[in-house]
Amino acid sequence: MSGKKKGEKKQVYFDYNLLFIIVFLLCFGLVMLYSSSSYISANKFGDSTHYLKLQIRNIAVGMVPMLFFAKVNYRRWRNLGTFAYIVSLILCLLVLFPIPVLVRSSHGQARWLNLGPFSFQPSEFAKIAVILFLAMIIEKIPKQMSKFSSVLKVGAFLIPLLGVVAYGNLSTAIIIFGIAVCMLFVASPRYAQFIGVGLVGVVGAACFIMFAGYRAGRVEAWLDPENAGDAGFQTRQALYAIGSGKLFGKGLGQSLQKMGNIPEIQNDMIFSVICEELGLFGAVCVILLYMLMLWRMMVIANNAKDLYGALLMTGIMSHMAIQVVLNIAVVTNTIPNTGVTLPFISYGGTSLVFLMSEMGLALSVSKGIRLESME
Amino acid sequence: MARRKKPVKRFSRTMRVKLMALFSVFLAALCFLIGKLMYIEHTKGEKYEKKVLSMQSYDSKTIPYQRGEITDRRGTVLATSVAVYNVILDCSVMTDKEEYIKPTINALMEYFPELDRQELESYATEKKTSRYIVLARKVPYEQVQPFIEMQAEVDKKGDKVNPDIKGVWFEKEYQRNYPYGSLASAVIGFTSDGDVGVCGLENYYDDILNGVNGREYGYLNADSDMEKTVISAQDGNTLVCSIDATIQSIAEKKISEFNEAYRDNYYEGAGSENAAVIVMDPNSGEVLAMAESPGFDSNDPRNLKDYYTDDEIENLTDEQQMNVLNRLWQNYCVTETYEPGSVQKPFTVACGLETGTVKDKMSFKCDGYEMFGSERVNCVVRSGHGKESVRKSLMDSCNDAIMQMSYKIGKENFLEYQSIFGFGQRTGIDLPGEANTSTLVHKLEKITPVDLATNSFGQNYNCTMVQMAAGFCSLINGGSYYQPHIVTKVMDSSGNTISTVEPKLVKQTISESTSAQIRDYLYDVVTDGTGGAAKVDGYSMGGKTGTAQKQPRDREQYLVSFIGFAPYENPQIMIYCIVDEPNVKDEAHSYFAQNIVREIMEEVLPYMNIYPDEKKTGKNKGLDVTGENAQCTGRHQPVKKKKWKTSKIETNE
Repeated sequence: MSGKKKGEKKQVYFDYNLLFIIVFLLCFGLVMLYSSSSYISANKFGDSTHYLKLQIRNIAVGMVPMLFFAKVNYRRWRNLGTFAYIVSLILCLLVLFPIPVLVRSSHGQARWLNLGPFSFQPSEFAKIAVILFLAMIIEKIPKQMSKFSSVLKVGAFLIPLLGVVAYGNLSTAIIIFGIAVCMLFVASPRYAQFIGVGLVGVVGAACFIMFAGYRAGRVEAWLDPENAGDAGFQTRQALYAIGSGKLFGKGLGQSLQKMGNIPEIQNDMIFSVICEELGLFGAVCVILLYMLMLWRMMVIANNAKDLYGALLMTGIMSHMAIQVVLNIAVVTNTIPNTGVTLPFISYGGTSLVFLMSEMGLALSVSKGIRLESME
Repeated sequence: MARRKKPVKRFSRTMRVKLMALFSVFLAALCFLIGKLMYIEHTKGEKYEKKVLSMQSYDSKTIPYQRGEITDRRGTVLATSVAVYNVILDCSVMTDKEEYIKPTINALMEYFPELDRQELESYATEKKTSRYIVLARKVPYEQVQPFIEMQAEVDKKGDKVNPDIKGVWFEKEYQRNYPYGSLASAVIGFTSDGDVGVCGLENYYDDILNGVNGREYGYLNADSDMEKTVISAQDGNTLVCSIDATIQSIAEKKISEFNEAYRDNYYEGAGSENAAVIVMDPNSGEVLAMAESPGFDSNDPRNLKDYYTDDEIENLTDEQQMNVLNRLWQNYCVTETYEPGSVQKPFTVACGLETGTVKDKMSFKCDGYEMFGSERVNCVVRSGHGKESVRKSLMDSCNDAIMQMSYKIGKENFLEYQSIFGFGQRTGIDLPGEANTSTLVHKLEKITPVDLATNSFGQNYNCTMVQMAAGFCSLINGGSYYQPHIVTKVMDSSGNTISTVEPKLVKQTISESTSAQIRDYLYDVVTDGTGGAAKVDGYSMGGKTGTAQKQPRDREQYLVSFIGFAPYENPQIMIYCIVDEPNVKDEAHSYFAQNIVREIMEEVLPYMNIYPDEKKTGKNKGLDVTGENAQCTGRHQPVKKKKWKTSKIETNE
């Protein structure tokens, strides 16, 4: 965070560091995606590049909103927070009803909305909507944030959306909840209450996990994945992959566990292939890259020219961080199995497109920074 | 810091601090996860690596080989292995998604209607995790193929038409198939489990017929790369045997015609206890046909329904059933021993001629019997044949004259030549279970005069059919004893010859001239002697009849036989037929066998492109396998229980 004086000349800042990390992660993600999915796509679709092609398409599609949001001044979205929030709430509600043409289900849960050639998960949109919504509210009443009651009031706005999302997809609800808590935490000068809220959240999630029928097996699997039978299969296989990778891994493309052993390997479990092929070294490098990314986001937030931009950056950073932490925590069996994707690397269209939109926002915020004001 | 004109809300210092705190939390979480990764790698790395490696070796699949075929000398396939498929259901795949279950069960029911829908549905609910359920066994390819095609079918877009049919696959194996069923079943034998030969050639050449299973497996090379390797199966070799399916089927047909004609004739049951025929090429020892009754169906060897009623089968104990089956599966021609009777006589004469102890010019006086102490051995004509030359003694099948010859030959010469002709030794034919007759012939130090005398006309010692046939071939072919054999060629699965079995000349039994002399005598036996019923009109034939009284002698049970050849000058075919206990009141007549031989030869001689070499005289015209028109057929007598008469006579025709 070293400030630099560049004379009187007004210079436009652009965070190339962040852009570089994004592009690097996307490319690295493609390589790992191809490596992890080639076997199963060849088996399933007779084309080893099936997932690779789709992901390239997703990236291409994601580039459009990213460039758009990067180009447009982020302050334009200041008043659209409520709108985004309501739209996402409606979409999330819509997906709960089994409307034949509109709703597509997968893994026994309806999560997709069909829109012409594309289908997308409204819950992914909900994440960005919450960021926009909270940033808008907090910017309007920054002073009141010192009162914890008003913090709770703001939080209460989110309860409908959280409820609807949690009904269909608990992990996304947890992420949204996490984003909200992080943003409110940063906005409010208080600490203790947030630790309390955090604890309540963790306990609540734990209770939900314990009682929700289809997740019951996952707890057993979490406690003892090696002997948990079918429920622990995915986690167990992921652990085998991590353990067998050793320090430097088996080498790119040499994973054995990707040969159909790990379900959802191109998706939630892609980090286990990174561990297996690139070893502990590769995995740590990837984590360091994410750390670097989070740091860049923090820098942008700290130097944003206004509170709104800073709050946006806080939300985006929290989102990124929570997903990375949760994903790696699942793969390493630190928490019970729940479907969270690894940003930029996991296969998945909706999450990638919205993540890239967020990155566009972040780049847009970084453009607002005046170099002379940088700390 | 605040150098702005507009009161823009800024990110306050408190907020920065808190953001820093948040960032630190994330950093800490990520560092913790790095620690966790290291921990997993450090504590469980070795174990998990082994787990991963051990999971790879599962990918191993056996590729079954195809057992070799057995064909006859003209390439007719007598035994082959056809691919059949077991229908396997991987229930965990089928029940993976709810929408798979119904289409899959529907498709199974459509293509395999013999399956039980309720059973399939119960699998879907009760055996969800089962990965290997055998739904049907040994389904032919024609039935499996449409299912596979239906599964692979794609529409114009390249999408599968039936994507929801999941979890059904087919396991290939081979099933032994005998296109002609019971044809030559005793020679060919059968297999259990598709590749374990139980009897016959299947058993004798088990190793040659069987191949080596292939394997498809993956292994990890030095770089821990997965290498997939396929070792294809080595199919078994094909046996070409000397059997001629046409001759074999003619022989089998005639035997069964005979057995049917005399069924329930004198007592309840088939026309004979046993009836068997060997047809050989006398100039190579190759067996052209080896037939017997009753045969069995090689495709269904354990089925006793043709021989017993259901009730009888019910009542059989397992052991009894096994005994019955073992008897059924035996090849009478090589595993059974019996007293041959007068077909021995040409051997005795040949021995005498060869040793010079008997001369063509000699003559003997038959008074109807010979006395050995108090024991009387009769000739077929009790009153005696009168004066008998050597030739005439064979034509009349005179025991007395032959016994007198045996005195001249002496026991040393006789036993030496019996051994030369192969009696008492295994022939070494390539079939399993050949009987050992070494203890069933007399030894020089123990033979008594009555033994010698009775041996000379084929009683009191035992031989097998194949011994007799092989020895007889040497009598008529100029004295060359060829080892009888069945398999003439071994080919690999693609039809390349691996080895051929050349006729194995074992020894010279008698001289060319003696052989010619014997042929001459035997020609007269058929033309003007006891063997007349075997004569095929228009063909020069030689042969000798036999009517052996079985032990115990007082039961008046006979094994009648005829051994013959054609054409007379240059024998191309040798045939030996025995009928064990023909189902008639008066068994002691060889024409039961002669009729079968004539019937077979009538069809086989033209088939073998042997042309008639004599003028037709109308002899034996219009006769059937019972020898209708011939005297004393013994047919059409009321069915009654068999009685055992007591008598102490040994009779030979």
